[in-house]
Amino acid sequence: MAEFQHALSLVAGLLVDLLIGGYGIWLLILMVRGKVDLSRLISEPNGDASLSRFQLLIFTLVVALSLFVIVIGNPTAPAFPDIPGSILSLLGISASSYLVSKGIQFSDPNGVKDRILEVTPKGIQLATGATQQFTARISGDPSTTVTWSTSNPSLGTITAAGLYTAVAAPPAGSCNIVRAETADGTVGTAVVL
Amino acid sequence: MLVLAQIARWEMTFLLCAFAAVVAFQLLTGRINTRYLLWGTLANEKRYFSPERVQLLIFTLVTAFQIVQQVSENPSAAKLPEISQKWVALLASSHGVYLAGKGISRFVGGRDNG
Repeated sequence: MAEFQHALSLVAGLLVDLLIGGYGIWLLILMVRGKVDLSRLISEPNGDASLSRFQLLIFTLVVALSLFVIVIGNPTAPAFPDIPGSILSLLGISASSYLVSKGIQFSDPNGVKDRILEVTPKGIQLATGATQQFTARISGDPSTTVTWSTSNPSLGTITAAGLYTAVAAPPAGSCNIVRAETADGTVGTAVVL
Repeated sequence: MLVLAQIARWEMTFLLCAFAAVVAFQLLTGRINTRYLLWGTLANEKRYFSPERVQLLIFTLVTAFQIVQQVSENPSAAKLPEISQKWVALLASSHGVYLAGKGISRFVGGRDNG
């Protein structure tokens, strides 16, 4: 009976191990291929990187990895290690600083603004063959670089510099949408009638 | 059972190192956004290079390095390493400077005139 229990626990342990390992490898592949998007791991809603998030991430990872190293460092009897008061203080300082930092941001009368890409002009009517220069800008970021496109190139085309040329008049009740997109995925639009 | 523990140990070591390597690689190559990490924002939405962020980043990295170094020196210890109370106080002061700088720049915008 004891041998059967031992074998059963061994099989169960192996299955759990394979499951966790398989999930970990799958997650790793997704991260490497960019399917799990880490690009905004430490970003604010407005697209700027946040130092308070970054320091919290560093301390969390370091303490978690240290715990793991210590647990596996004992080859005979893995056990959850003691956590000294100084490490708890450090984690408390890190997390409190993050919270106060967010409090300061949200107490700001201006609040935390989403990253908005303004395309100008917002809407315009053009005759066939006419051209219009569009501009795109994010508030507080004078060096905004965008990629331009239109929803229907048979109605109008746009150059990389934002110069739109009306190829044909849109049918009644429809329009051509001019789209600007930054490298981090922020999108702004305008309408051409 | 010890063989299973060994397998799990190597598997987890590989996975955690791989995760850390992917995050570090993406940070260094810019795939994880670090834009304006060391820049603050004034009340009028203008940005400024922020020394209080630089000092906090330095203290954070040095503290993290201390922990990693102590753990790697004695991985079979029964507890996480101790950090001196003086160093914890220094780190708390560093966070205080960062938060004070952030609050002042957000609400007073004192750097606006240079």
